[in-house]
Amino acid sequence: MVLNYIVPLVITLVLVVLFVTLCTIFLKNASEEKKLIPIKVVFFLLIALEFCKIFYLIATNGHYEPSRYPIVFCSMVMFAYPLFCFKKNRFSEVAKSFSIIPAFVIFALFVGIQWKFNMSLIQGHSYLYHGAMLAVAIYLLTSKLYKFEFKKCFPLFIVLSAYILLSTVLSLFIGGDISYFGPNSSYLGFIYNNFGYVVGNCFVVILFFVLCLSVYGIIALCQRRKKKEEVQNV
Amino acid sequence: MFDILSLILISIFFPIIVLVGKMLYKKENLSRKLILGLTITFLAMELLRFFVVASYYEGAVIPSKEVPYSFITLSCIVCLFAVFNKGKLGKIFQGAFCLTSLVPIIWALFDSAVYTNAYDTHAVAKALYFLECGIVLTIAFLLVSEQKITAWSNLWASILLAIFAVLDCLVITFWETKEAITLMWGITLIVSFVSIGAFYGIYLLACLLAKKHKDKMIDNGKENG
Repeated sequence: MVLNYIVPLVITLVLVVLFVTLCTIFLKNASEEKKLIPIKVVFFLLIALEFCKIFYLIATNGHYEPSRYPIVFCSMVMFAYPLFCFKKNRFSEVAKSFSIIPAFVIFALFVGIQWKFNMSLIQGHSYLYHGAMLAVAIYLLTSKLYKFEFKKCFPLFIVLSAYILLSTVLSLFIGGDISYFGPNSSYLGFIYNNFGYVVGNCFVVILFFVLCLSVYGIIALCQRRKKKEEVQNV
Repeated sequence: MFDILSLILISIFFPIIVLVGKMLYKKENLSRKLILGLTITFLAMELLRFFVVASYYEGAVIPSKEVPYSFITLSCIVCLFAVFNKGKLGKIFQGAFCLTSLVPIIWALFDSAVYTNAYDTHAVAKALYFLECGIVLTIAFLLVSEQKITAWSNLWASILLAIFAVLDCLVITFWETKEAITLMWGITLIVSFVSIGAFYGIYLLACLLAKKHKDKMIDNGKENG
């Protein structure tokens, strides 16, 4: 338990804290363009890790299964990075939103189940992979590259739902199990097995809606309260 | 034989149809729009090809020998960087992509394993591969018409092909896709390298002819006053 779970988790968290602290301190007064450099590096690292994982899994297992495709729930954050890293466009803010809350959820879900598994090369890869996404999410907040605003909640929810829908449709199309919340999932597999694909996905979408609404809502309320206090003080 | 004929016909006629359409339908920024559209189509088709092949197997579990990977996959990634990156790196990718645009066709001509699959009875994956070859050539021609290719591009294209060769060696060794790196594989690689030079040669010739034609037009204009 200690070697398989606590040690890798602590190492990952230390690395995340180091990355966030160093990048935030050293790039405190830098331009936005320069602040995005660490995220670009992480993006290319994630792509390299993904390729290595695919190659390694096919070589060792002798086959390639849908649950390992890079469009599973865990990989989705990675695809948002190029939308705001390289050039600003109309999707940049949504992409940033997409890189924060889902990254926290993915890391929490990943960590919550890892005590079941023994440490291996792929496990080490997964800790690094999920940790990198968490690091970027925290860095976006600490470097002030992203600001929480209530209006950003709805586009995020739409994109998340679209992603879940897309992976579901693909799963049905190819006859495999792509979605992380699929029938064989350790988290919400029981919903799929008892109520079917459509209800399962609707449940996940509603869950995300509640999550986005509550996080953005609470932050918006806190911001409003802070502003009121400031006005009263003046 | 019919496959080879189809491949060649699609690869020739797809760019011709698009380029003639572009010449007839004169509109501002049409070339750029076409490049963007075709690149997205190329990516979508490559993904679709993968999923179509995956759908042939129980639970979509693809055996390592059947994973639809070939030079065209690498070409798709390079194309994305070439089209969407407008910096210095983008130009390098553009040159490499344009000069290697014949390579997917050459691999298909020499080794039918890159597009055939025993379960592909309706030839969906095969058709997608052939169309992708046509799209690659079209994007390359459109990029060439927009951006000049330098002699350095030969080097980038050769490096790209060398990277593919190393990757393919690893894939052949670790995924056991073929029994061994055969003589045919080596010949295909050499022909691919030659195709880079050939494409560049044709490009230079076309530039020369275009320049001559332009000079002639200017001279005619001067004579007419």
